[in-house]
Amino acid sequence: MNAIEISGLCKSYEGFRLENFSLNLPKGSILGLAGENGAGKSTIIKLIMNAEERDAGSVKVLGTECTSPEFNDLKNCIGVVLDEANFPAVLTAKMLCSVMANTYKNWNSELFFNYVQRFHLPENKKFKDFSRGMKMKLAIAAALSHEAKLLVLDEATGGLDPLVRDEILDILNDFTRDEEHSILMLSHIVSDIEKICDYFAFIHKGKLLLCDEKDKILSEYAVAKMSEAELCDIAPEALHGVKHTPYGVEVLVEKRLAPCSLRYEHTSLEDIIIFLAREGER
Amino acid sequence: MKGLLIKDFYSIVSQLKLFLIIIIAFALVPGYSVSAFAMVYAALLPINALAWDEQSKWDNLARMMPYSKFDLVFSKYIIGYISILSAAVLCTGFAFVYSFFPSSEPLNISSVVMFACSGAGGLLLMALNLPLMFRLGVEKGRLLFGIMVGVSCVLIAVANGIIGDGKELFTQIPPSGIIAAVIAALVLINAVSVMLSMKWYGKRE
Repeated sequence: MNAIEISGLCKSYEGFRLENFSLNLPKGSILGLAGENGAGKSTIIKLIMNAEERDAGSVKVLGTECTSPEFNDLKNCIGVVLDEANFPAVLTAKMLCSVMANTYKNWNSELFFNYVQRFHLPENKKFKDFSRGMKMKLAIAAALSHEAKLLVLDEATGGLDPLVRDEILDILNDFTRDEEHSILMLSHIVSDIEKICDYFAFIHKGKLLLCDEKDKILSEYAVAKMSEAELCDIAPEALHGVKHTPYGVEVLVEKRLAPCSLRYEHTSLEDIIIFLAREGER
Repeated sequence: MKGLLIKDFYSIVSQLKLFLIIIIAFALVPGYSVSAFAMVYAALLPINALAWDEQSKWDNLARMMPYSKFDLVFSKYIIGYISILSAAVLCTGFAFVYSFFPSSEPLNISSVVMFACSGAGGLLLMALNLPLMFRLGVEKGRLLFGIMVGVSCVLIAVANGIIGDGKELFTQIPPSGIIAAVIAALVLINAVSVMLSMKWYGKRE
């Protein structure tokens, strides 16, 4: 069963269009959705959580259509972390606990304060005086303290120092040890997604350009360097991106369709999406 | 909805100490027309609560929580009802205490009706303003509210000049009739206001 099933999702704003967006997040796994700022990631979260009206398509979360009346109750099982945490400036961790205890049916205050202690967060300091790292940790602590089965994270690791990022990624990994738990992680920092995700998707200007298992993507695609003359030997269907440099050509190829003699560079997800984005713009 | 109210309560208490003092100060001043300003200030509290939500982008997060659109909208009305009712009770309470002072007017039913009408004025302002806030955002909404408060103050002052503090008028009309008419009008106006706010919520220009 899938934790999230999105099919043919469309949404238009002035100057932006999310086109026929479809993806599945299998239960018990982490799906990283990458895309540049303005690609449509936040719009997707709003549509998944039914905070915006869609133009077309369907979205099922934990088996429930997000526009159904039951979905509001299901939100008790979904933890959301937005890129600025978005808690009122004057709230302290203690006050936040009181607000959340009266918001979520399954709120666990003891668990929340365990996370607060584990993250070394002050209980009586106002949110506005928190650093960016502390804000995100508090948001994650809140998202993990109401027995959520699904976490939806929007740029949760953006702007954090490497140590805090690593700590947060460890916590997220722990969360998915329970096979009922799933994470949708949206970020433009591909390295963070690459570290922990099982599935990877890439959205560019409102279009989904890639969505598959991370390991499959990394084993199927690779970057190769060659001369302009060698480029002619590669079948057009194997080519997914070409970059002309003063020293020759860099290409993204689908390995099974490319010549066996080709020598590949070390290729990361970031390399792959840069090629795909450029190709998509052509 | 309880979580939303607690959140607004924390924000109001933390950020509005001066504002609360002003409301109490207005309530302390003897005279019905001055006390009316306490109600107007009380009617500003939900608007300030909305402004802080907007500033912290709390609204974006709240829409991801298990709250209905009605909860998100109506919680602001409840804040307004509580604050205006509190201001009205304070005004009446202080007037009651003053009534024991030498050469003070006794507190009678027409005085209570006057405070109730002032409270009704605050509720009316809030009911007119909140849908516009949800539609236009707090910045534009506040500007509009400022204009409305200014016009209200002029009207209160003019009315005060014409009919005094209005007690004579209220002694001529049965208080129960006035109260019933005001309550009916307020319920209707607030119901329409809540419906408009629900319709415009999340569709800010």
